[in-house]
Amino acid sequence: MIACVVLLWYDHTIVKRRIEQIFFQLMEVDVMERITKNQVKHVAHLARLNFNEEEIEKFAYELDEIIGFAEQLNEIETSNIEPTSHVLDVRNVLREDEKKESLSSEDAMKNAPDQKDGQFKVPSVLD
Amino acid sequence: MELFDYKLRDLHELLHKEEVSVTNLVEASYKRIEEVDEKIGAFLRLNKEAALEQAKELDDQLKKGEMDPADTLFGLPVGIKDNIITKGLKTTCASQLLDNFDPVYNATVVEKLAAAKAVTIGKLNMDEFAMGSSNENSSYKQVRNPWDLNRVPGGSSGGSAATVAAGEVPFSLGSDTGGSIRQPAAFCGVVGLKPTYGRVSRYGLVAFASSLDQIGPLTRSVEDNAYVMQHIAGHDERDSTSANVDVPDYLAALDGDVKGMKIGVPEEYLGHGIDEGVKQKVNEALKKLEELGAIVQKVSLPHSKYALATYYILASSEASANLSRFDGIRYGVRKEQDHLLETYKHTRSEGFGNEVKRRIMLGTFALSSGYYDAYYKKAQKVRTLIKQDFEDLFLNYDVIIGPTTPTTAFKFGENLDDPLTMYANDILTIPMNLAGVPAISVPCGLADGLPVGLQIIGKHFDEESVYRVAHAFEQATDHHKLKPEL
Repeated sequence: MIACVVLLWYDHTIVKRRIEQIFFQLMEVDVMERITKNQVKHVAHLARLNFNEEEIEKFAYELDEIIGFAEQLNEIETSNIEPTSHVLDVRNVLREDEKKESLSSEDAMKNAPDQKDGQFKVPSVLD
Repeated sequence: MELFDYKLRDLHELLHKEEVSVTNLVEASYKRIEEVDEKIGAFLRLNKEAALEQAKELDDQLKKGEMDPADTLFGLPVGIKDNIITKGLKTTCASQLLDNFDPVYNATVVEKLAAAKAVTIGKLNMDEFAMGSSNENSSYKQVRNPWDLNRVPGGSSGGSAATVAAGEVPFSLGSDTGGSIRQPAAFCGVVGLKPTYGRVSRYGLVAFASSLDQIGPLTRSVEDNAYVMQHIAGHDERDSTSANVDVPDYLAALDGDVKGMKIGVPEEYLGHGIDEGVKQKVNEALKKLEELGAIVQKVSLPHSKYALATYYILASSEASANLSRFDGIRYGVRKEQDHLLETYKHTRSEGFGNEVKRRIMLGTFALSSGYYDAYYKKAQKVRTLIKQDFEDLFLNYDVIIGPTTPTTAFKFGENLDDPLTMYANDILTIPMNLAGVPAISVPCGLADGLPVGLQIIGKHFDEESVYRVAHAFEQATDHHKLKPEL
């Protein structure tokens, strides 16, 4: 019964990561982390997202796993391969810069969470 | 026989002969939804009042003999995935962030359906922003698989597949970024096509990964699929990635003749990790195609094992850029704070679900300074190799065939805790998005009572060969006649 509960807990990613960390600390082994918690906080800021400490830890673990998985691409030699920019052989399409009908300002503002005098209203940008 | 067991072409005939009315069809659709959608959960929103009003107008035109024979979708009910915008009908992408979003224009595909006089029944449930393989990421409600209500319908177009399988509408539109039309079509036992990249306009499709996304039809038969595709395909100057390539007569390709056609079967698609039941059904299908005179040979797509990692870097990178527009300033549900920056952060953190945030984080990381070359650029190079694999094979083969999914529909919650296992569901559908080639999933029988999908892949802009093989196979078997009991 106790073993069962321990196993269930171990399955939980955060707990798993903690146990691994403690294990490696005890063994005095350096854990090669691809993604640190500080990196997660930096990326979250770039992405304009907020997370609590528990979520930061979870993301550090999950992103680390996904990035670890993605590193299998390093098995392939690609120094002479062109990166794909488009799957079809297409060229830029140019057109005359002509005035055409577009959304009315009323339509454009229709979904605005807040507006004033036909403009989007936002909270203060600076103190 | 139920009304929606008829082919679209037959329904068109019945309307023409005034044996049924548009109101009959639209009411039949809403009646079926009332009966079963509480169980299925396919629809997020209905368009009932407007649809019935439109039906009345179309019936008036019918009576006056004003039905244009070119409007082959005249009066036919359709369900639309909720990431395709519809003027005056809320479009949420199954996200809380867009809970109040009321589009001010129509997507090109919606305009085209309207021009052909189809009747929009409502908006279909999906994984939030089309990110997911089980529809468990909808922020509103679960979609259940009509074949087994304890199992997922697949995703992200789970609602689009389940509604057709459940007989609520005769056809629907979905979108496919890494398998989001084909995988749910396979799980629900219906036909789903991801067209060539650029074949169908993406104007008005809420972008997930712009270089991979395509809109396509989900139907009960291959013929119906071609019938709908005829209307939605074609160049659109409002989508700069839309291809200016003539649209052929797809129905003309459905002549059942596959004699001498060369079919390649990649050994990677029937190897490790594919369920025995799925393998068996696909092998039976290949035997059937040989009986019909096609030449079936084993081939290899050597870079296919790298497709999954390539896809998750590229799709997430594009998503992180595309979803930056959801900041609560011009539309969406704003979570106002004292300062702008905090308003952005609260709006996005409270509005997006976990999977969406996970992918935005992954993409932002892959594109961030110092990591761009190692992940994003590397993945674009591997993408070139994956695309070349297909180009090499298509020098010698007309189509490539394999299973659509490694397994049949799985149970709720089975893969939710582990993103990598969940992502592996798409391993057989992702390469086609990376290469931009068209691919269809058609039913090829049941394994343990659950539908299996056969995937048929073609060259760029050769949907005709895909349809030809799919139709010949379908007509030589009875798999498409199987229906779930509800």
